[in-house]
Amino acid sequence: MKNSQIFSVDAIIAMSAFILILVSSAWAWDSVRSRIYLSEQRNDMEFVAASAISVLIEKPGDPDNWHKLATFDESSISSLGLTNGVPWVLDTDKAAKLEELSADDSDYVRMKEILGIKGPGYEFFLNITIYENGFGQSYEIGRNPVAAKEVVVLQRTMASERWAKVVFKVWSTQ
Amino acid sequence: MKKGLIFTLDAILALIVASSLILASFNYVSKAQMVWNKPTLLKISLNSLAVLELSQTLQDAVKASNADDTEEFLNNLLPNHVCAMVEFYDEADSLLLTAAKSGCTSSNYPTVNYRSFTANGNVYYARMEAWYI
Repeated sequence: MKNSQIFSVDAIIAMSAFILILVSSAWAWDSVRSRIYLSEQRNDMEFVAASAISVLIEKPGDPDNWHKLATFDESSISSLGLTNGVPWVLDTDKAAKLEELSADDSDYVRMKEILGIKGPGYEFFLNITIYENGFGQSYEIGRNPVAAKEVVVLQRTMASERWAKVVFKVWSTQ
Repeated sequence: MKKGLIFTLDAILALIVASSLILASFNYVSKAQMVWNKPTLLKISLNSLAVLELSQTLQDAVKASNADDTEEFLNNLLPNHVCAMVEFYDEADSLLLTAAKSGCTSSNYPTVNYRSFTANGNVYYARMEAWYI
């Protein structure tokens, strides 16, 4: 019988199994951590998108004539809304004003601040399409998703001449 | 006494119990998923009913006894992955009209929302069922 047992076949198999389990655990830990991060980010984006679209389609904004003000900043406008004062009834002048403002990068950033879209790399895109006898006039506000890693899409409706389809996307590049 | 024990009655019973528990868990989790999804469907149907009333679509349907406009709304304004049906009732709970999104089959897990409205001086209500395709 040999004295030294440290390099026996048993020990080598045990060591291999131990290392395999260790590596698998590290991989599983990393995978779970990144999944939790993605899930948390998605939850946050859904919350941000739901809050923003609720305010937009149910409120007129504060002040309610924000679209007629000479300046567009957080000190003069505390919230943005698209209604004429009646929840879910679209004021097309406000939609047109948002579309005009969002063409400018600094106004788009202010718009994000006022809407509460403040997460890491978060951007938004709002598309309002009027429906009378088929889809017609469309307003495009914000930035269309480009190289997005995560996108949340919410679709609602508003009353207009007849109806309007409102599609709101919050997306992130990070 | 036999040596192989893997196919004893005990092992078979344990296997049956374990399989039943796993199946029951999957069933429970899949139903829970249906419940988690409901708030979004409820918001969509609440929003749809409000817009249908504000645009006079519900009132016009009752006045004309024709729900084609409501059907047009369901077909064009709802998200593609959402199915829905709107029923119109009078105060005596009699079903007057039905409008349904085309291409949809009914579901066992719909959300249900109601909205009352007036037309011709009478009270009516619309009942909307919504579900995922």
